[in-house]
Amino acid sequence: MFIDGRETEDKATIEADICIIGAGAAGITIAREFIGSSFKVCLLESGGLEFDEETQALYNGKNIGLPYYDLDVLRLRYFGGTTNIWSGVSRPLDAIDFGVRSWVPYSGWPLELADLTPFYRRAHDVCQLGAYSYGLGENSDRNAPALPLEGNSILTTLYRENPVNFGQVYRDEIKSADNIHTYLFSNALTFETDPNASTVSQLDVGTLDGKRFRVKSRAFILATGGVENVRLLLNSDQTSTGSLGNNHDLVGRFFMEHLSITGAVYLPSHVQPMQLYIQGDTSGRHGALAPSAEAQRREEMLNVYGALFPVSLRSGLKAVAPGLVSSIMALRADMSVNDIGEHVRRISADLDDLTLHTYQRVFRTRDVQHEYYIVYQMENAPDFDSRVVLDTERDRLGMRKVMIDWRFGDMERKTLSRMNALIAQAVGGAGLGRVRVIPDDGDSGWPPGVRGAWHQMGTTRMSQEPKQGVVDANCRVHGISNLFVSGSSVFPTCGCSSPTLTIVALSIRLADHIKQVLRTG
Amino acid sequence: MHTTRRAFLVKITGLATLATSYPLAAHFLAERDVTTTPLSDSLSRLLHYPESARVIGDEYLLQNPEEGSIRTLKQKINGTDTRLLARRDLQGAGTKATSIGRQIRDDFEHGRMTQVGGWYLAETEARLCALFSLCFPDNG
Repeated sequence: MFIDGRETEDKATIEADICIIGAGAAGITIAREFIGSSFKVCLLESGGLEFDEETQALYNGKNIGLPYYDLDVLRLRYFGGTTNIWSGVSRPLDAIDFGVRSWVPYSGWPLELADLTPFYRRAHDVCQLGAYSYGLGENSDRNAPALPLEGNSILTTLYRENPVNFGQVYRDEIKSADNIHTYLFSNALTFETDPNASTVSQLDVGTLDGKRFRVKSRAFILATGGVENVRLLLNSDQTSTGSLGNNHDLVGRFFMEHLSITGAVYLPSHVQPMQLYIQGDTSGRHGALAPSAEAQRREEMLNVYGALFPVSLRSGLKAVAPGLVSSIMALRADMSVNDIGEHVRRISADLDDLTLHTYQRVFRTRDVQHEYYIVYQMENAPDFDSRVVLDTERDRLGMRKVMIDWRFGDMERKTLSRMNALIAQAVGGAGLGRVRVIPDDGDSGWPPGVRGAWHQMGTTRMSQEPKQGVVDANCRVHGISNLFVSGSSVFPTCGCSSPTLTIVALSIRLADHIKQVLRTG
Repeated sequence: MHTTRRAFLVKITGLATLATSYPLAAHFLAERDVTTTPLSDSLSRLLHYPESARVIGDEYLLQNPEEGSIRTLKQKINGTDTRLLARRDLQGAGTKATSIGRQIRDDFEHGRMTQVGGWYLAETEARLCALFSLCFPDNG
C-alpha cells in the first residue's frame, strides 16, 4: 500500500521487520523480493509518484573537484529513482573486475563473478533484458557479425539496452502488496543507535511540511544511491564513535564515476557490416570493443569498452538522453575525420585490400560506409581522495548538504591512450581500417567533453576487513548488526559496465541474506 | 583498384592454380613482374591516389625529417627483407603487394605504428606514402 507520509500522525512510531530507505532500482528490487512473505516491510521514499521540484531540491550540493554535473540534476528523487530517466544500458561486471589487480590500488572484491552470476540471472528478469547471454558464440546472429579483429587484445563485448522504469513497471505490484508499506514524501533524517553504535534502534523521518515520525525495524537497508547513502550515514553523527559506520574514516571516500570519453574515430577502409554495433542483433545485444583481460594485465590498464556511433548521426544525438553519447556533443564537428582523413581512407582502402580476406564476400552487406566515433565508458580507479563530504550548509530538513570531490588522472589517461592504440592495431592488422585519436583540448590534456556517465559508486565500499571498507561481503555495515547498504556505493571497483544490473543483482542477494538472517535470528 | 581486385580474386578463387594451364590467367600473372619496372612504377601501381599518398607522405616526412631520402625509406621499408620492394616472384605485383600487405599487418600486430595527423598508420604504409611523395613530388 502507498501512504502519504505527510498524513502520518506526528511523532508516530512505525514498526517493521525491514525498513528500506529509497525506492529506486535497489529499494524496489529488495521490496519485491519480500512480497508475499511474512515480513512487514516499510519502504521509505522521499518523493511522490511524480517529479516534484521541492523534493528534488533536497539534492542540492556542490562540486569541489573535477567538473561534474549539478547534484540536483544528477539523480531523480521520486518513486523509481533515476530509473525514471536512465538509458537502460546493462551488462554484468567482468571476472577481472572482481579480482585484485596489482596495478590498480585498492582493487579486489570479497566476491567473485561466480558468486554473483546466479543473481545476475535473476536481475536480468527484473530488468527485463531477455535471455542471459553475453557470449558471441551464443545465439549469434549471422546478419550481425562481430568484426574479425586481429589478435586477442581487443574483443567484441556485448551489452543490452532496455530502460525499464522501475517506478512505473513495478508500481502496481508494490502498491498492491499487503506487506509492503510504502511511505511517500518521507525523508530519512538520522539513524539512532544503541550506546555502542552496534545496532540501529530507529530511523528518524521527516516531511517537508514539518512532520516527524520514526521507524523501528529489525533490519535497515540504505538504498538511496552512491551520494545520499553517504549523506545519511555522515549526518547520523550522534553516536559515541562519530558518524555511523565511519570508524575508519572511509564513508564517502573512493567516489567513482565511469568516464564517458569520445576518444577516437574509426574509419573503415571498406564497407563493413556494423549492425551488431549500431542497431544490435536479433537478441537485442549490442557490440562494443573492449580489451581482453590478458591485454588489461599486460598493459596494466583499467577496464573500458568503446561503443561505436556513426559520425553522420551526430546531429541527431541532441535528442538522445544524457549518457554514453553525451560527450560527443562536446566535440567540434571537425574533430571526426580531419583534412587527412579522406586521404587515409583512400590509402587504407588500397593497402587493406592486400590484407583483407574473404570476410566481406561472406558477409555481403549493403551497409553504408560511415565513420564511427569510439565512445568509451571507462573504469575510474579507486582514489582515497575522491570523495563525498558534508558541507556546512543545510537543507530544508536540517540535513547537511554534500560536496563531491571527484578525481581521475594518470591511470585513466594511460587507459585511453592504450585503448586507442590497441583498437588501431586490431582493426589495422585485420585490414578493416584506421583509427584517429581525438586531440586533447590543450588545457586539460583530455579530449573535449570528458565527463561522468551519471553513475555514482564506491562510497561505502565492500571489504572483508573493517579497516578497508564500510560494508562486508553481505553488504552489512561493519560493526553494526542490522544496518545494510544496497546500491553501487558498495562497489570496491566499478569495472566499465553500467551499474544498474549489478545493483539489482546485489539487491536480490541482499534480500536473500536478510530473509535468512531474520528467520534464524 | 584494378590490381588489388585482381590480387584479391587470385587469393580467393584459386586463379593461381588455373594459371598453370589456362593462358588467360597466365597472362594476368605474368604482366606484373615488378623487377622489370622501376620503383616509381611499382609505387604507382600500389597507391592509386597520388594526392592522398603525397599528403600523408609529406606529413610523415615533416614529422620524420631524418627519413627524408629514398635510400633511407627503402631501407626502412625493406627492413630485414631486403628484397621486399624488388621481389621477383611468380605472381609479380600481386605477390609483392601481398608481401607488403603482410608487412603492414605485421606492423600493426607488433605495434609498429606512427601517428600522422592523429591517424594511427602502420610504419610501412606511412613510409610508402613518403617514398611516393619523394618519387612523385607535386610540382604544380
